[in-house]
Amino acid sequence: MSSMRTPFATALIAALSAMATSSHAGFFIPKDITMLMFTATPDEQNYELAYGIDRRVSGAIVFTRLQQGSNTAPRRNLATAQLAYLVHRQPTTDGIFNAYLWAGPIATRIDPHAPRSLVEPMRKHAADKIGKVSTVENKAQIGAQGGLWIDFETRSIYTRVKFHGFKTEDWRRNEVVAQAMLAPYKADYEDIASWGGVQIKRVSGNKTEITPYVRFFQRRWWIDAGVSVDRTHRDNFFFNVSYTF
Amino acid sequence: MKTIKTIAVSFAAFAAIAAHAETVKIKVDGMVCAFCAGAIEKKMKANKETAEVFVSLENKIVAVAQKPGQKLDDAKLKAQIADAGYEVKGIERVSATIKDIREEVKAKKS
Repeated sequence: MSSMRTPFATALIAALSAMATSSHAGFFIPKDITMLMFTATPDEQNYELAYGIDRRVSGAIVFTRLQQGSNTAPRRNLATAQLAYLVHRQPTTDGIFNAYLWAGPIATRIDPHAPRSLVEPMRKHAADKIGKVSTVENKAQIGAQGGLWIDFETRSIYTRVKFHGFKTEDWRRNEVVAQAMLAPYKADYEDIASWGGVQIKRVSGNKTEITPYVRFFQRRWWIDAGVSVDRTHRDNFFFNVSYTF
Repeated sequence: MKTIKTIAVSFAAFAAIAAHAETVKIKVDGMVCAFCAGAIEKKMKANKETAEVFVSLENKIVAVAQKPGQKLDDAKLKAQIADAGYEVKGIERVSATIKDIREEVKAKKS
C-alpha cells in the first residue's frame, strides 16, 4: 500500500494533515441559520454542521480527526453532538459582546486505518496507565466535552477566548485558544472584509502554538489562513472555511 | 361621472406607486459583521411581504422594501431581529426605494 503513495498523494495527505484545530468548533449560530465549517491545522481536521435552533440555543454535529503531539502519535477520530447556550449577548452602539457555553457527548476511537506502528505507542501508553489494552484497540469510547466562549467585536477589532475540554475513560484533552484581530478598513456588508491577527493556542501536554493569520469574509463565506510560527511537528499551515445559509 | 372616474383611477395609481415605494428602515445596534447581518437578511427575505433587502453595517440599518400592496408588521420585524440576536433601535417608513438608500449610503462613504 505504501508503495502506491506517490509524491502527490503524500503532499496531499501532508496538506490535509496540516490543517488543524477545533479552535473554531463550538460556534453559537443565530436562529434558523445553518453553517458548514471545515477547519484544518497540523493537529486536526474538523467538519462541522451547525444550526440555530432558538434565540439562545444552537446545535452542532462535529467530526474531528486528531493527531496530538509528535508524528508517531496515533490519530484519533472524534464524533461530537453538542448544544450551545447563549448566556449573555450585549449589543453596544459599535460592537457586540457574546458569552456562551456548549456541551455534549463524544464518541472517540483510534483511527482504524492508522498504521500499526502509530497505534502501538497509544496501546502501550494506555496499558501502562490504566492496565487495559483492549479499551484502546479500535473500540469506541464514550465521553463528554464542553467549553466556554467569550468574544467582543466591532467592525475593526475582534477578540475572543475559548476554553474546551474533552474527557473519556482514558483520554482527556484541554485547550485554551485566544484570538485578536484588527481590520485595516471598516468593511460594509457587501464588501470583502479583511482581517489580520494572531491566534494563541495551548493544548494540555503540548507547547503553546502561536499562529498569525488572515481572515476574509463576505456575506456567507468566511476563510481563515495562517501559519504557526513555533511548530515542531508536521506542517504549520492553518486553514478554515465556513459557509452559512 | 367621467371626472370622478379619472380622479379614482389617478388616486389608485398614486396609491399603488406609494405602496410600492414604501420601505421599512430599521436601525439595529450590534450588527457589526456579515455573519450577524446575514442572519437578519435571511429572516427579512423569508417574509412574503418582502420585495428586497439592503443591509448597511456602516449606517446600522436594515432596509426592507415591501411588495406592492403589502405591509410588513413592525412587531414581527422587531421579533425577527431579536431572534437573530440583535436589538432594534428604531423603525421608520420611508418613501425612498432600496436603490435610493443604497445610493445615499454610497454617497456618505465617498
